Amino acid sequence: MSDINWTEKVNPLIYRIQRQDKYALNTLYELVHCRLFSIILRIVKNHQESEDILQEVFIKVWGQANKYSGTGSAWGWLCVLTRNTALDRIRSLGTHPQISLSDDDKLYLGQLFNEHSLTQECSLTTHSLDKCINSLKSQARNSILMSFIYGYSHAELANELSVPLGTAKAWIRRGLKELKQCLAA
Amino acid sequence: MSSCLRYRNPIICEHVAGQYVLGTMTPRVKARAEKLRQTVPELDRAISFWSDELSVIHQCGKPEAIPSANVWQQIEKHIELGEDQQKTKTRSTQAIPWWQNLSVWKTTSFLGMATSFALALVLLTSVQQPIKPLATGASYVAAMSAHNQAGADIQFIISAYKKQEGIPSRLQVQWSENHPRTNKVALHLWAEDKDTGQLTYIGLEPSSGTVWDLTKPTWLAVSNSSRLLMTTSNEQPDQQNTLFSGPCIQLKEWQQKT
Repeated sequence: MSDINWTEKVNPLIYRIQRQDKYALNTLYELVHCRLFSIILRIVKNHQESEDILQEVFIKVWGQANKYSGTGSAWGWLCVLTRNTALDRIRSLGTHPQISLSDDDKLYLGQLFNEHSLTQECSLTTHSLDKCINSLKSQARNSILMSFIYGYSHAELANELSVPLGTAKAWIRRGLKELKQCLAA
Repeated sequence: MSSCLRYRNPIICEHVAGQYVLGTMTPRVKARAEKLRQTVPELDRAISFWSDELSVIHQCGKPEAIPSANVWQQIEKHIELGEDQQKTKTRSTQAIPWWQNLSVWKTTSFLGMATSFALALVLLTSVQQPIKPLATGASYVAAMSAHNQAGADIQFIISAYKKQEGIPSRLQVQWSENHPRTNKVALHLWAEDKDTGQLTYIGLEPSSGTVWDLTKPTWLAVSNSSRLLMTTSNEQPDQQNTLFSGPCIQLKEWQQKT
């Protein structure tokens, strides 16, 4: 799916779902279910559990579409809803299956670290996120991406990277600050 | 500095928004951030900024996995089940024995006739008299701000207008120009009795317009209240579901001589 215009279709679908349009929910499912499933699977690491969470996400979308205020994109809202649902599930189970990154995960992160990887995949020649992420120091970049993509908590990050908790928190805080400055530039 | 003002500080706002979108918050802190974003527009904008920027990562590349086909069927079943349950609730009166149904129909017919008669009277009087605008002066006013946040800015005003000839008692919600509404969640209104502290459910805000007709009991509840509360659900107000609250004060008659 190299065409990024599909994200523009999400906003009107969410507005239709707010009016309880079942056909819009089905269209949204067809449009994004594989991507949302990938987000969940990277965090949860269990196919069956991920399917349950995907179901929960779409039931939430049906019932809580009104919570989308229109500030920001509906795709961004949907990603946060999906990640939070997955994170709530693993935290309610009391265990995060993420003991350490597998080779596949490292490969995926490696692809993200490569310069222009995002622009190549998305045809986003003007988007600055990849440039800004790649301009961060490796610790800050790793911490942010491991939290965002694999749902690492501060404590899990500290453990995985073998650093004190305060250091992991500081890397994230500093990384986000630099990322914001770079994106705003 | 009050907690609400604290979250308007750009540095704190950015920090909270970043941690929220990264998902490093505990469920309790996350719930607090979700509630705050509904009353602090700066935080809502900061969260939306990070959501949009970082979600680009998820829209790139090919999806790595495909869920099984029955997931959608389960979602569809769940939604239809929810709708069926709602229908069952409304049809519950039909499930009672036929002889009880008969009495229900008798009562309904009688009430229907009475309602039609009353409606005809109302229509007749409203045709004879032009519809009056909203009352000129409010009888009660509540200044609503984020719940339990000392020093929080007033975000909107609820004005209560006494019943007048041809116009029922009404409430009007008016948002501040400085704090335009950030959430679209329909809110539920409650009145807290000034003597007993008992909470009375007033109702769900209307989907269109901001004027709210009151029944006699809900008018009495508002006029006897010391405080109004706005919640995100119709369940008893608590720390989790209460977004706004404000003292309700009685005003003197409009243009009354002092």
